[in-house]
Amino acid sequence: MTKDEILDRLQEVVAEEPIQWIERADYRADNKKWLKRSQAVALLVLRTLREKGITQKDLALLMEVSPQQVNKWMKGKENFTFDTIARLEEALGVEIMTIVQVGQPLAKNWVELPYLVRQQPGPVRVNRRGTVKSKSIVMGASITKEMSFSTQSIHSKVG
Amino acid sequence: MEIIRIFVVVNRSLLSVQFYGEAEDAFTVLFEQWSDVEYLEDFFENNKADLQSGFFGEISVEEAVRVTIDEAERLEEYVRRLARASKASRREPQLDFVFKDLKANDPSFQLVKSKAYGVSKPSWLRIYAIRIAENLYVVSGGAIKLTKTMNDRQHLRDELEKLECVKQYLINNGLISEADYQCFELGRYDER
Repeated sequence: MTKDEILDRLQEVVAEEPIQWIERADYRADNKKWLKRSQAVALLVLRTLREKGITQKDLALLMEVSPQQVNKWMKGKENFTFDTIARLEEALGVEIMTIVQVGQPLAKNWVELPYLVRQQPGPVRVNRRGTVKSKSIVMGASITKEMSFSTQSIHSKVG
Repeated sequence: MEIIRIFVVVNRSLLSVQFYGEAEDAFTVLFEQWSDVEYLEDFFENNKADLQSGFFGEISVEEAVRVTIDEAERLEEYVRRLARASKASRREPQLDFVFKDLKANDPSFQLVKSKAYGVSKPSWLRIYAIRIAENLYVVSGGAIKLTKTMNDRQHLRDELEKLECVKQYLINNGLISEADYQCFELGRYDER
């Protein structure tokens, strides 16, 4: 059977409507920038819940919203309002968002990097090249002192 | 396990099945899951031992979630480009360069079951499909594969079952014949 014959036969079983994926993929691509932030918020909240042994249902009760609403937030697809962020911070006792002022130093427990090594998905990524172990930092990332112990060696190796 | 519909992902090249009981087709479901923070956090937390076994180096659950989302984004963008290009022209995307044999040397596999890797190596993202003609694939599902073989974990064994189901469906509907039963070697992944 040739490919064209197979494609003809497929016409009989293939759905006429377009696949849902294409619309979703377009949406994800068009809204990539804020979705990234939403995902970061959801991940931080999920890890905090796990660390503190709080369920999504507990969080819903604390925030006086439905468990379905909390579950929707946790997907990382919600365009959070400042109000929601502030209420999440209050309920969990963690800081989720910090606005860095232009020209002002970062908070005292953060380290500002003089220049950047290479773009990576996370703020810090451990790299292995043979026996050499190093870390690379995302462009513009702020990292805690605990995460930055090997930055000097990175710069000398990669930079 | 039963297939109720087939959707076109990329014209003349990539199709995706919808299983009975599922609200969406396999390809749509995959990218929903791979962009769902709750799903990913839960998956990596439940598979933490595999994640941190050393195969992918030192990696935390948080990092794994971020890497997966970024990797899936790149893979999705690649397929979007193919889908757009295939609408604009009759030129067929060269998917044979993307999919690799699952068991190229296993004679018990008459149909070539294939998988697509994520766009960066090493990647744990897998899309599973059956190749029914040159550059023509039917997606059955996909997975985050943290172990060496598919028989090691239930979620991967489920994917083997889905592949088998798709194979039967294609045979039952006369979409594949003996002439299609040929093994082949696919090239390494090369984004183009």
